[in-house]
Amino acid sequence: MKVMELNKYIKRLISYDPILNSVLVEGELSNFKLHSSGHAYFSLKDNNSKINCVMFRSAYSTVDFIPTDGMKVQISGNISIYERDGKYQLYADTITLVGTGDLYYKFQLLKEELKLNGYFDKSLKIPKYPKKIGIITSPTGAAVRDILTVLNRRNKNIDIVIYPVHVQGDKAKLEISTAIEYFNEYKTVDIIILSRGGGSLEELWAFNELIVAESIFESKIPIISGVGHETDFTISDFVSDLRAATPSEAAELAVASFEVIKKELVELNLELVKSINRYINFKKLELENYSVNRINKLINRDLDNLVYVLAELGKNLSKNMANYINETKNNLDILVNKLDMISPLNTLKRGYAIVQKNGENVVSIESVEKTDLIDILVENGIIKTEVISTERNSIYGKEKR
Amino acid sequence: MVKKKDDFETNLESLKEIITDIESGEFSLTDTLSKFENGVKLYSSCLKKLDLATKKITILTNNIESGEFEEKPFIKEN
Repeated sequence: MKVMELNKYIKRLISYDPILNSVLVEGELSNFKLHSSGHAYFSLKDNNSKINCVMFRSAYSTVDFIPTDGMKVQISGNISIYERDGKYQLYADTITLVGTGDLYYKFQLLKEELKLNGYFDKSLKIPKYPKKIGIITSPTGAAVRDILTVLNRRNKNIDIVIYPVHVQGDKAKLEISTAIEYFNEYKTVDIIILSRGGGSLEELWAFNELIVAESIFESKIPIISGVGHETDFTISDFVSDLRAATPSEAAELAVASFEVIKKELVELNLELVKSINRYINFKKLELENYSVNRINKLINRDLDNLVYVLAELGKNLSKNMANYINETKNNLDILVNKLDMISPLNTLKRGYAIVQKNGENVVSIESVEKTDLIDILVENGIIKTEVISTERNSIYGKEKR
Repeated sequence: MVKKKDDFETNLESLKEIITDIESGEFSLTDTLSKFENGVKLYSSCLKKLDLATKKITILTNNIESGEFEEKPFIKEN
């Protein structure tokens, strides 16, 4: 016998067992893993023992809470063998939470989960002057009566359409979710009021369902949630664009009171009249500015002013020009004088000469010796000569020769 | 000018715009006066709409034959 055949045989054996085919087991969830395929893998354990479980996608999609390790659950399903590994496991059809305070626990879990995923951050603007309002509620409940009372009192020209739903019981969550989608599909209303009267946590439960939260979150039409009393908080309240404490308040938030709108309108009319008055006054003032007298006066004043400015400008111009020429001339003269004074040519002209030996100026008797050939530079040429002798302190030595 | 929707909210917005325009003093006298005239019209139209009792209360009912929803008048109990 092959291993495979053995496993197959055991599997068949188990499948004939009426108990193993339909079990209801209670235990604590652990190692919960949701595979990308949509199948969930986990174990169910109690203090002494544990069993591996698998829940296929189709079954898992009906689970209305987010399974987390440590939860006490009841699982229905059947036992079978996974032939490849020779492992027996519990194939789960349903998971339900057990224990007291279970609903509140579920509520907290879903609340955390949705908050984390940004479901509570949605906040569409509630239109100020809706033309039509959709109400999703029970047509026979107290909520619809309260809402209609407020709407009748507040405004006489806003249409209301009621989408009747069960607000508790098994059908409720799907009906509510469908209603929100209906309004979004046909876009007939400007605001949706989602409402029911007060009740126990169980009675309000439809408003804590994931599917309802999702529909509210997806809605492109702003939703005002008014479920229960002030103290009742539901998931729907958190996900909605606006939370009203009660159905009546939801209606009040949806529709501005007739008196308030009318007052605003009358104030606008007052503004309009004021604005036209201001405009006319302004234009009157402007007109005065353009009266003939005033224009003449203005022109005369301007002309006088202009003539004066021109004259001043002319005066300044000629004065400035003369100053400039004089100054330039002076500067030029000074420069020429300076140049003359420092020019060696000028010195030679006056009878002075430059004595050079081998091209270098001779400024002392120590620079030359007897028989040295020296050049004497005068204004119009060079006298070449020879040193005969030198004598200290005799400036006329040369002439003595 | 493109004709705007004739509903309360649009008219109210137009009225506010007209006031701003007149306040700005940037328009000619003729334009301003026609704006003013238009503003008065918008105001009275808004007022009329507000006073007009047109409210319809309907309930959606599922037509069994067509499977479609219909709006029917909602008759309040009691």
